[in-house]
Amino acid sequence: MDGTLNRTQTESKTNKDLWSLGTLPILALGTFSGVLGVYWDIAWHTDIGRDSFFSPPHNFIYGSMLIVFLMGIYTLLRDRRNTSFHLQIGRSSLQPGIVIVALGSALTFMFAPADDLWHRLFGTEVTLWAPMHLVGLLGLTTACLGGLITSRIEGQLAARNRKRLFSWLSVFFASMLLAYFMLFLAEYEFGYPVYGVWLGVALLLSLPTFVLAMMAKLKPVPWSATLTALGFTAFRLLLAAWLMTTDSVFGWAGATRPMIPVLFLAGLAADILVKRGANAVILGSVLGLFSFFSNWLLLSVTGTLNWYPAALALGVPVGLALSVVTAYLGVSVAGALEPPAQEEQGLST
Amino acid sequence: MKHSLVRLLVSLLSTSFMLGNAQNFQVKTGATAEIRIEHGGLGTPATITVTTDPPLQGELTVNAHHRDGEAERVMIRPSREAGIHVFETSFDERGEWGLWLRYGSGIDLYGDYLVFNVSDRAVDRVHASTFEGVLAADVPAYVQPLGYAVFGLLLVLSLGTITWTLRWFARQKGDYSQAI
Repeated sequence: MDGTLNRTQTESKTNKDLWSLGTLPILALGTFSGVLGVYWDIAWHTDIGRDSFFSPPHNFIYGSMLIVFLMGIYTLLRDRRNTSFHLQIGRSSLQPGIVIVALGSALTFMFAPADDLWHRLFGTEVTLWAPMHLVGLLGLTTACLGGLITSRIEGQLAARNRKRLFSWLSVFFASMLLAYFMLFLAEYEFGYPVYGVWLGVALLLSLPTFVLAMMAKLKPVPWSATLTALGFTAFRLLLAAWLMTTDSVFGWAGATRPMIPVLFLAGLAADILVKRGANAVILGSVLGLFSFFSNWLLLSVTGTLNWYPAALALGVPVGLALSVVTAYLGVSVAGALEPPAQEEQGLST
Repeated sequence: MKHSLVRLLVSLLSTSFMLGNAQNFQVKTGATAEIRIEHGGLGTPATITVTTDPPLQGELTVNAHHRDGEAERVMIRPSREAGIHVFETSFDERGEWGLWLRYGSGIDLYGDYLVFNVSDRAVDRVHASTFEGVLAADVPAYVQPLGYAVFGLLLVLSLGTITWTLRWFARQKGDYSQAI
């Protein structure tokens, strides 16, 4: 038994999974465009200002989320499979991952007018953590997590020869999810945070842990957490190339570029520790310390270190405590998403 | 029931926290800052001292950058004493440098921009300018906390939906395992 549901067991009415239906490729492109658009938007605000609501980065973000939302609705209407992993609501049979995607994307573009209102009230220089920005980021992150859940569910429904595709899609969405989590630190990466340095340190230690612990435990492919961290780094390098291109070729901002956090070592540590059966306390503590030291080294080498002793005295312990919590949450989420056959080999939390 | 209470508690705490900070959003606006830049010329140790009135506690961000080149210094430091922030740095490119300040939330960015010159010889040793934080002074104090409360509510609803979905999926998976 490998957890595969065959056609009879799932009572499928169509052979098309959500990759063949076109949903997952669109979701992958949408989540990629969303996070790229937000970084571009921050660079735009810095280099050009906030000239119009319909700036190219805004059009990029809201356009991609609108397409993701419409694709989500199309999928909910079009997907006629009736499996035990579909929510039965009345006569409808809904893939739960897609429901989350639709909710997240709807949240993002429905609050776009509120974001515009906030800028009209408080001017151009509204922080990334302004309330309506946070609503937008919440929507984007939720949609991306929905993509990951969708991939996992499709992987369980897929025939054996299709499972590999959905496993790699899970790694892709996890890399994007890591990018969305790190997006909350964008003001620190750009070098002008509006909240305390200690908070940036605490979040740097704890935010990556959730995704890395989850992927190390979920293990859709070998060395999943390491590959997720590498995928994140590859995305951020692509983002840097995009910003350099928009700046030099089109004059569309990008002269201001964010620092790229180093998470590769934390990913590697996650894979090794989970393989050795480490519990959430050890996992969270070690991943937090790896995130801290690798980025401390990066900032020291580049001469952009702004961490002062009082901020570290508060940020490091808080970050380590949060990292243990996020490790626990990551492992718990992985427990819910992993295939039935793997569940008994799980990591203790 | 227990989970609902926890969610309610988290929601109330976050809302209270934001409401508690409402006063800070207003206190910061309207503060002035005097900047003194002391340097001994190119590549030598320099000190930027910022004095705010009324005194601002907490961290202040100074961005000093060459207006034509690549050099940039972003420095964040807390006040050493009430309203006085001191930044140690050096300027290693000749020519015109720009400087801006930021304090607290984005609505409190100092609107003005200071330009000064660094040459081989220490000609201009002290620069002073007054910045006015006047942005959003006319927006009622309750607007920001209200926005954060809306975000808090949506966060709780989103997390609740995701948690419910994951638990439902895990339960379905368990049923499926038993069936096979």
